[in-house]
Amino acid sequence: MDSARSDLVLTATSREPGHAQRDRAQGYVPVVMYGHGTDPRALRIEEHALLQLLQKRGSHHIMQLEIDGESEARQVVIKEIQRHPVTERMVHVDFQAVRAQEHIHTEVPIRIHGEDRLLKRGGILQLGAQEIRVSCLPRDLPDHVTVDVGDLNPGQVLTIRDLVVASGITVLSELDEVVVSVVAPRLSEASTSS
Amino acid sequence: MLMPKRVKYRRQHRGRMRGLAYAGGRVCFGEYGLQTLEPAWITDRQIEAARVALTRSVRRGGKVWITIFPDKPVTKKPAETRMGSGKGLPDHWVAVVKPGRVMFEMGGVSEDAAKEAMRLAAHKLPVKTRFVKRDLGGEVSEG
Repeated sequence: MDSARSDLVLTATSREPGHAQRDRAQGYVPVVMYGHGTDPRALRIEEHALLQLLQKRGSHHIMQLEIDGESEARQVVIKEIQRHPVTERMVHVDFQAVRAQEHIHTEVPIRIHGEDRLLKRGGILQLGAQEIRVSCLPRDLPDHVTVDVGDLNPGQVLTIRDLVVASGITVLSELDEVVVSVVAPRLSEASTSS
Repeated sequence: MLMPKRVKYRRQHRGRMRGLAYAGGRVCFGEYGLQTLEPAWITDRQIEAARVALTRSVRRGGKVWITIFPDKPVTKKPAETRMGSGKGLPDHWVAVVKPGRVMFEMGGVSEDAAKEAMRLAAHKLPVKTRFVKRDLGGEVSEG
């Protein structure tokens, strides 16, 4: 796991609060790092490096944040990414510092498998929750939770209660929240009107 | 055509369409979406025309979601009426959209079919649009 996470390293530099637009123009993303027992710090990260990491590994991981002038990297999770509604460029990112022995509350993405099989059998997936909120120690944080929808029939519904999570993880989301439901395909206009 | 069942007040001010869509900018229900790049009033007729274009394009299979609702009344004075005498009668309904708003979503079809359907639907709308895909932290994978 350590080797897999060795590439989850970001380098941040301190920034002056109040100059976020200038930072963005220079190719940086303004970020803030906060956490239990640490004062919030205004930082900036090279946009290109952050984009590459997010595209390669996603945003739901424990990451190492190297801050200029500090000898040790901080363990952080991404708490929020603000994006521009049209350009989808990152506007601001929140990092939360975590400690190895303290439980963290975060969101884990739900990955859906078997949609092709479902489509072949004539079902259409209707998505509900796309993430679940969990509480766990940083070392137990999963990359994702998998749900297989290949064997579902039209009318069936999967809720968060049906998800299988590893031990050591407490689900905080409402257990009755719908993750996916399967609906039958719509008939064509001609066949429904006749 | 889409319209509210009942409203508290029959006439509204026109308002302004400043800013961007900070809500409703992501594909939530289906896999593909049609996103506006301009602010506009989308009328109930335009929404219906786009819906028909979408459903006709994919024929059998697939599901369409309309993620905007025309809840703003537009009034119009009768023809050849002198100015004054108060505001006109409600004529039709519009949905106010701002850049970034996802207006239609589609699922259960291939990407090519969805793209073509959205292209046809976009011709019924008074705005520049963009085809967008669902962006999940946990993406849908093959299997």
